[in-house]
Amino acid sequence: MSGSGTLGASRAFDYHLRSRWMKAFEALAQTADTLQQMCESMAAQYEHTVKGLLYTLTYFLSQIKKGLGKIMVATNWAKLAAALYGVVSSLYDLIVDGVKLAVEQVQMFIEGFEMISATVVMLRHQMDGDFDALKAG
Amino acid sequence: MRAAGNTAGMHDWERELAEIRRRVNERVYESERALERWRLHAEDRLADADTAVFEEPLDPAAVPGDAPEQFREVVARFDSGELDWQTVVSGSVEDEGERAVSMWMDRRLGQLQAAGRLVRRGMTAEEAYDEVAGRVGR
Repeated sequence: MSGSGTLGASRAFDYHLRSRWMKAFEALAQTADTLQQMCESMAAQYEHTVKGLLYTLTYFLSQIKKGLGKIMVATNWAKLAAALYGVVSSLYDLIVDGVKLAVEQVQMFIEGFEMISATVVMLRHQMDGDFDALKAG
Repeated sequence: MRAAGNTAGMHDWERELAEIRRRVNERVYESERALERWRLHAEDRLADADTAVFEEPLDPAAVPGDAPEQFREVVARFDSGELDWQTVVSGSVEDEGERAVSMWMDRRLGQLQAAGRLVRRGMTAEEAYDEVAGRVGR
């Protein structure tokens, strides 16, 4: 009697290990992998955004400085002022777009993180009760 | 029975996980595309920027009508790299001629600000120049 009871418990435990826990840990590993991929991608995207912004800023600011130097001493500065206005407008637009992009990236990261959190919560619900026998023991 | 029920639940769970991973990857892809669009837009803006006019040499003989007599000498020192126009605009100068040009440049900054306000109201740069420079002399 005692032997058959042990066998039943052993089979039940084997079922939990193979069919539920292993799959659960595999799912958890895949979730962690997705999180890692998302974080790496976001880091790379931020690096590109910041480098792009810095390059653009450096270029446009050097042009603005050069243009202002000319405007300050030119006889007729109308053409120079029009060109300078265009450069400043371009720079302003790019900064605004760059900031919007950064905000969108943060929003996407938050959404991605929320999805992964939901996965972990779902895992927890699915595994709920599986450890009760161990706790009772 | 319980095992069968749990296995069915497990399949749903796997499908749900796959769907979540798909949505996360989609978000990352969208973000990468947004970055690429911004990069191309920045490149276009850099290419379209009309900065050639900043490279054109100014006529050294041309002197604005309201400029002080030391103007030509001070500008020649800008061109030779001996003096920086920003230093003169900031007023950090000792020389009398540089100070006269500094005060004149200060007035020109005021003209540029006035012209900027007119451009924002819808005038072209040429019209704004005529309006502002016409008032103070060229």
